[in-house]
Amino acid sequence: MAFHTANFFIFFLALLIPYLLFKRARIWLLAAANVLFYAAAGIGPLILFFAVTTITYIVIQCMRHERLKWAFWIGIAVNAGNLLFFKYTIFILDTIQRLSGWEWLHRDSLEASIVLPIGISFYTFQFISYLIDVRRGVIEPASSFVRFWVYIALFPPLIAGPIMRGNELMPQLDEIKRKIVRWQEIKYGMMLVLWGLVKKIIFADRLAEAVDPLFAQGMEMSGTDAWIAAFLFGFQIYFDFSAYSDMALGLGHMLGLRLVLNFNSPYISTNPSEFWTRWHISLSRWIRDYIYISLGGNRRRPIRVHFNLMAAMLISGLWHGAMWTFVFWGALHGMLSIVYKWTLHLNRINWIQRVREHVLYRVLAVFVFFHIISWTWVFFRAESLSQAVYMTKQMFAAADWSTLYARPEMLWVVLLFLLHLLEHGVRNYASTASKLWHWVPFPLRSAFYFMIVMTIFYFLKGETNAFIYFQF
Amino acid sequence: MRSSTSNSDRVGAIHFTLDHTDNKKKQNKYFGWGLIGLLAIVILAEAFVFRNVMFYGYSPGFIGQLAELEATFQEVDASKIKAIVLGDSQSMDALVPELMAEHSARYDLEELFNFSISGGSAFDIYKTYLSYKDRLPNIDKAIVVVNEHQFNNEDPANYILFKYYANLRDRLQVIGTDNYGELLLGWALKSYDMRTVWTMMIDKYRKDELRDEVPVHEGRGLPAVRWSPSSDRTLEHAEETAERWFRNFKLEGVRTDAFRKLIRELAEDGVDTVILQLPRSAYFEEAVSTMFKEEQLAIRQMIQTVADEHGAEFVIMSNEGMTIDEHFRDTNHVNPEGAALISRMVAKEYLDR
Repeated sequence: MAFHTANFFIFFLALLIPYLLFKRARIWLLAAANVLFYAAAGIGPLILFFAVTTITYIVIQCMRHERLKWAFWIGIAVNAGNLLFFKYTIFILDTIQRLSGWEWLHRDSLEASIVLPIGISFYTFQFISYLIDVRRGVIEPASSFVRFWVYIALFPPLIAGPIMRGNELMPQLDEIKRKIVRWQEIKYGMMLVLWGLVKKIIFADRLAEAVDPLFAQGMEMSGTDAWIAAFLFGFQIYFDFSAYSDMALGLGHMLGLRLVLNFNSPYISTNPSEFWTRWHISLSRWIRDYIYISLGGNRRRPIRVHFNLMAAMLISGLWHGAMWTFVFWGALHGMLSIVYKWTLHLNRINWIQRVREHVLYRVLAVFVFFHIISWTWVFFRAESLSQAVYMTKQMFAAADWSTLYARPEMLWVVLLFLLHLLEHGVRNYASTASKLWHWVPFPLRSAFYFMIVMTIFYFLKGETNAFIYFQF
Repeated sequence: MRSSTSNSDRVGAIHFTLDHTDNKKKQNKYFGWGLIGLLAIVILAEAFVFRNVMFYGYSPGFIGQLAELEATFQEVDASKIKAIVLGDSQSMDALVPELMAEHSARYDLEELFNFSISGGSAFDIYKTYLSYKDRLPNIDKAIVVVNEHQFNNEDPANYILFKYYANLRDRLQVIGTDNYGELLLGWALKSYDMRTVWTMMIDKYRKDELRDEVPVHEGRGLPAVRWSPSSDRTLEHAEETAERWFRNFKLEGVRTDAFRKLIRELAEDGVDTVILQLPRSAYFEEAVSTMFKEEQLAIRQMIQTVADEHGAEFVIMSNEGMTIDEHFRDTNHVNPEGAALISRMVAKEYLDR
């Protein structure tokens, strides 16, 4: 059930009213709402999700006892196995076939029968982080199954994040009976949901209409077209994914729950390291804390640190999808991170460090890094690795840069970037922005809201496009 | 007051740092006047635009025709209307009040009005009757034109005429896990419900294709369509149409219930009612009787039962003497020659009775 559908609107309204009125029933209301929300994806996936939740809960209870700590590995195996089976079976068998030449039978029937349960990548990571946190002693094992279910299956972030951790959400759930949800929070939540709808319906879906035909050119794409496609897809995926996260945050606010920020204006990053603190923040910190640091992180010899970085990025790529394009996308980010780490050594030279601290350097770095990150999106979006490689060749060998910047589409890229900056400003200076906005007479503000709602209705006239990250 | 969780702080969660909530006075100042204003604008827009049928009349279409019908109706003296036609595009084409008045010994032209609407199902026909009923104090005769597609309850909620007319009770009758949002939000906000109509109007406005005003028709009802391409007068066309009419056929549902209510209410209002199935081409009859014989029989039995219960007459008019090239514009709609023939026949045999 996507957030931009009428079904969800009615579903949420039907939950919110009793939720605000009956504080004591909140946990049960959320538990039931999670079941209904996920059941919309199908009863089969719900049963699977419920089964994995039950097993993980039992494992967590076992982990309370010193003698049964090993149950942790059962929990990890069940969850990793669940994800591996549903997401990577076909990919693994295809790869074996390609490498060995062995032809496996019934591929099509297997492909048809293994349907990826919605949100599996997200909830699996939540289960794993919970298991690890219990093992590390960061959190106490959940003492109530209902509360554990509400944490794992909390519907706003369930399908496409943010990936929440037990120590972030469980304490909030403990207090939920006493929590007073103020009008200001509801209003703020509504604002975030509306902003998410604008990003998804007015921007992301419209950008998709421009991006899809460009990528459909396949091996006939010119270098300038490839750059335009990359830039526009970069904004499409940002608006699409961050829209979902904004709406999830907004819904959380309306329920009196704080979810972690998942996007913080990623395209103003100057380097890969900064990018991953701004893009899909909840995933990158998950990768950092449970993969990179578990492998030794920065506290190893340089070659091992680089290996850790590459491994973390490859896993991040593979998490996004069982395709070689995603693996390469992850590898590219791994390489970028390694190269960036090397360049940090240059900071030992004083004048280089001084240059790097200058505002003009930052502007230039944002400009250059935006191009680099846009190029990496080609691997994320291309239909095949060969198309991505072809586009890369075209972008760097055949692109006519003067023609590129003279293309009318570049005006859209610039405007979208300015919107990105505006969003950054509003988010980081929310108080000032709010005050400024409230200087506008309220009839004008109302008229503006009305125009936005009508514009959303206007673009909702046809089929509603699914969020890109639902497939992960 | 500043509110945030310590865990969220640590991981960089979005902070609820709206400084203007710092004191009560400022809180009141920012008590959502923009949202209250939005609510007021929405209510006004709903009342004067989206729930106003005349708004949709600037563009032709299923809803636009309702505005045309209303505009046309407003031009006549409703108190003089005694006989009405209720039906769909078949009766729009076939039962022309001017022609019927010529052959009727009982009714003058000013006493007739054809409320037939294009694409009308039994539900829409009933709702159209309801929207005019109180303005028709003197009717004593109703010709209700039926055909099979009016009773297919496969997925009525998907039709724009249903959305336009359906109240909450009607919507609850067809609600399901897939469409509850559309139906309930659409009930609350006509702007959402009718978005396919008004967004198309905006597109037309941008192309300067919108009408300057809602057309008022000279006749007593909506004008007939008089032409179709010759490819619409073939057996293939008949089979395609039959296929469309009977797709996933389901007799019981909101449409058939509406038909029952219509006949019952007409009887309660003391209106003499004749239920007619107008003549269709031989191709069409052949297609339906070979492909959907059982369904057709069930529909006819249902209509006969309803007619018997409420003292109405149900007549299946024969197409004898009518040929596809001479009397039909397509396999189930008549051309002007066919309309002249049927209007005369209906006026003499059913209107004057």
